[in-house]
Amino acid sequence: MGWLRAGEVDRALRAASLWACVGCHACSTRCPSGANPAEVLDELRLLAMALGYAPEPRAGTFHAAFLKSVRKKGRSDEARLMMRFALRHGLDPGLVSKGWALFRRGRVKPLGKKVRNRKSLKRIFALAGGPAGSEAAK
Amino acid sequence: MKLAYYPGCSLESSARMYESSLHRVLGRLGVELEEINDWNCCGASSAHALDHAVATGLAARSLGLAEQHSTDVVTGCASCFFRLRAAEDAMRADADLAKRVNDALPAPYAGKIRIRNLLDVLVEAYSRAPEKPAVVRPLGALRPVCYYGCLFGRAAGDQSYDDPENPTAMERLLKGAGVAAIDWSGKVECCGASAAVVAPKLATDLQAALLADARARGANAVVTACPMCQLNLDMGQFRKKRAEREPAPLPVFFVTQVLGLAWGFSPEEMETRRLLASPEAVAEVIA
Repeated sequence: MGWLRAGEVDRALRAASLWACVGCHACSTRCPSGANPAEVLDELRLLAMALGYAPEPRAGTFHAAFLKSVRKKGRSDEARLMMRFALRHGLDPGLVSKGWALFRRGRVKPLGKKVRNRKSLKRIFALAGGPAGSEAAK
Repeated sequence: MKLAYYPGCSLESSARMYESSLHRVLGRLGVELEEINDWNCCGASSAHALDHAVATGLAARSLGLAEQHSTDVVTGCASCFFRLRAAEDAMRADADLAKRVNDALPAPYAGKIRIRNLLDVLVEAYSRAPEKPAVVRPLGALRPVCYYGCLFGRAAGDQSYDDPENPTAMERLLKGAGVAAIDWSGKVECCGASAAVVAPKLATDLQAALLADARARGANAVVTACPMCQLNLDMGQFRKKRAEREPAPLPVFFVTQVLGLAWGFSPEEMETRRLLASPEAVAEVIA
C-alpha cells in the first residue's frame, strides 16, 4: 500500500507479498477508516497479470492447478491439486506422510465427482477479460 | 425448516465427516436439506485472484440452481459461504456484470434467496426446536476451544447472525449439549489456508501460535465449523514421529460431530476415526 501511495507501482506489482495474501479479509473487516485492502490486493493481482507480471511461482502454480480442475470438472480436487503442485515445486516429505494418512482415513477421493453440465462452465470461464482472464481460461 | 444445501468440494473429500454429521444433526433438529442439483465449485481463493467475472460466475452458477429450490441456501463451508455472498454482492452492485454473468448461467440468479451459513442455521433450528435433543452422552472430559477462522464472520451482507470479532454460536450450541467451551483469543485468527501448500512455514507458524494459546488455556480439543481450518490444524499436527518434547496433538472436531456425539450418535456415525489425531487421544476427550 505504501508503495502505491508513493507512486512506486512497479515495485508494488512485483512484490512477492502481493501473492502471500490468503484472503482472510481481517484487514478489510478491521480497518478503522473503512478501507478495503483485501479487494485492493485482488485488483492489484489482476492488474499485475494484465500487465504481464508473473505471479509468485508457487502461488501461481497453486491457483492455476486449482482452476484447471474447476474448469475441467466443475469441482476442485485436492489430491490432483497437490500432485500438480508437487510436479512443479517438489513436495516436502512430511506432506507425503500426511497425505497418506488422509488417504487411509478415506479423506482423499481419487476420482472427484464431476458437474454434469460442463458446457455452462466453459461459458463462465469465457467471461474472463484480458490476459489474466485468458490465463484463467487456459 | 427446509433449505437448499450447497456442500462444497471439501465436504466430498477431506471433510467427509462434516458432511455426514451435519446431515444427521440438522435432521435431528427437523431441518430438511435438498442438495443443489449439479452444483459446482465456488471458485474458492483461486478464481477471484485471477478474474473477477469468472469468480462471480462460478459462485452464481450454484446460486442460480439453488434459487430453483425456492428456499434459502445453506453451506457448511466458511470459504464457500464467503464466495457465494461475495458473488451476490458483486451482482447487486454492478447490473452490467450481473447481466453478463446471468447470460452465461444455466439458471440465472435473481438474488431472491438468502445465503446462510451452517452455524447461523444450527443456532436458529436449535432455538426453534420444540424439544431440544437430550444429552445422551455427557462429554465431561471435553474442554474445547471454538475456532471459527476467518471467513464465517467476514462475508458481505447480513452479519446479524453473530459477532464478527467475537462469535459465540459454537459456544452456545455446545453449552446446550453440556460442553463448556473455553474462551480464548484465537477464535477468528487465520489457519494459513492455502499457505499450507504455497508457503508452509507461514502456515505452520500461524497454527503453532493458535495451538499454543489453546493449550495455555487448558483446552484438550479444538472444535471448528470450517473445513479448511479443520484440515490445516489436523494435518498440521500430524507427525509420523514426534520429537520428545513436542506436546501430543489436540483432536480437531467439527462442531456437528461433537453435537452428534452428545445427542447420542455413535463415534462411528460421527466418523471420528477420520480425524488424524490418534484414536486414543480422541477417545480420551469424548469418553
